[in-house]
Amino acid sequence: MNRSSLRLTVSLITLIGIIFSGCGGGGGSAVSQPSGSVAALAWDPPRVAADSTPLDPRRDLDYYEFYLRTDQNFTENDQPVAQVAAFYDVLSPNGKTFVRELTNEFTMDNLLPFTEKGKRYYVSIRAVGVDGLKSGFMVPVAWDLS
Amino acid sequence: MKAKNFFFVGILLSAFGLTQTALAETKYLAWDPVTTYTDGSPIEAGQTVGYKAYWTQDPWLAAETLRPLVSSTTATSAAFDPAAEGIVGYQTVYFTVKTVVGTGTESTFSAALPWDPPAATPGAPSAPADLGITRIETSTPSGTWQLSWGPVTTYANGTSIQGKTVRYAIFWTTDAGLPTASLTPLASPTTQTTLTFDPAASGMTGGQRVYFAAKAVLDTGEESALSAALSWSVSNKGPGAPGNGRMVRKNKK
Repeated sequence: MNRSSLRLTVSLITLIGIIFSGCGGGGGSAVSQPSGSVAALAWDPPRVAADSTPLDPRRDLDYYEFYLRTDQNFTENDQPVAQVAAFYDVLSPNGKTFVRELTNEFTMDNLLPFTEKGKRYYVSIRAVGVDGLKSGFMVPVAWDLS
Repeated sequence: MKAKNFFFVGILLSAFGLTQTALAETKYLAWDPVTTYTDGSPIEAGQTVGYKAYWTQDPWLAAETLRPLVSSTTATSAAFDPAAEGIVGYQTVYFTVKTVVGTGTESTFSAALPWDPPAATPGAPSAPADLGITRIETSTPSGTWQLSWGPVTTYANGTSIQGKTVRYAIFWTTDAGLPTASLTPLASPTTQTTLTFDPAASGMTGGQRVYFAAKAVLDTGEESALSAALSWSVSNKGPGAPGNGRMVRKNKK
């Protein structure tokens, strides 16, 4: 999948999340958040390949896949619920060029359409290289929707 | 001893003679002289202030993509022949300069100066674009991989290629500067827009950083410039997993 398609995918998923969370009922959940803040998953991008050879995340990574389960047993059969590009471009102060920043955070609100209120979820991510190869799963992180 | 992390103060890259209609002409790149360190203090009299100029197709000025334009000069301008440097029409290039003081202490790179070169030599096809790589087979130790690229249908000047066969010559190298002498053909030129290869059989080793580039070649002999390079770390295991996952709170925007 090329990067522009990915960005579109993430944008669509985000849009869906906004629509669902705005419904306040049905299958989606309206999770109370402390005023003025939202939960986000943060991570450190990989710096080495699975074979321990050096990896440059700005050049070698394409995107991340997000996985959600109610237990920690992520498997190859799981399907990602979201994708986000591994980096994004920021216009440099001179206004002529871009600086490539690594993505290392994702707002969990985007995943609310795939959850039910009152449950504990575990979220994990995989890095996907420009050649399509995927990393293993990141150690799952608990996400309480109470 | 002054701070080593000095940088240009008020440097302004400018290009003149860069708007002509032909590439095979001498062009000039100029910049403001550097006279101070980043803290504003003047560079001591007697210190040699030199400059290194580079060009790249990478707007982010990734170090490995920089191609030297001038390796060392004390002048504040440089003459160059775009064609001789490998700069082709319709591919934006970026110039950057760094300062070298005295014994070799170097500044960071200046802000990039973008330039859109004019049309290349008439008759030359456009360079291939959108190189990509995908693993298609895992039966061999290094796997079987497929390179792909977009078809070339126009000349570099934008007109459509009619009645000619376009072949693609695919190369790899470990040198990010893509010097001609370092390029190794990955296979015989092909009319297809994909090419399957085995990294080990092609001479690549695991973990090695390699760069792929392609040329379009017409059956009448005209060749395009090299495409932009595709950087790839020869791997059969993929990236390592992200680490240190944690939940954080973000302020709503």
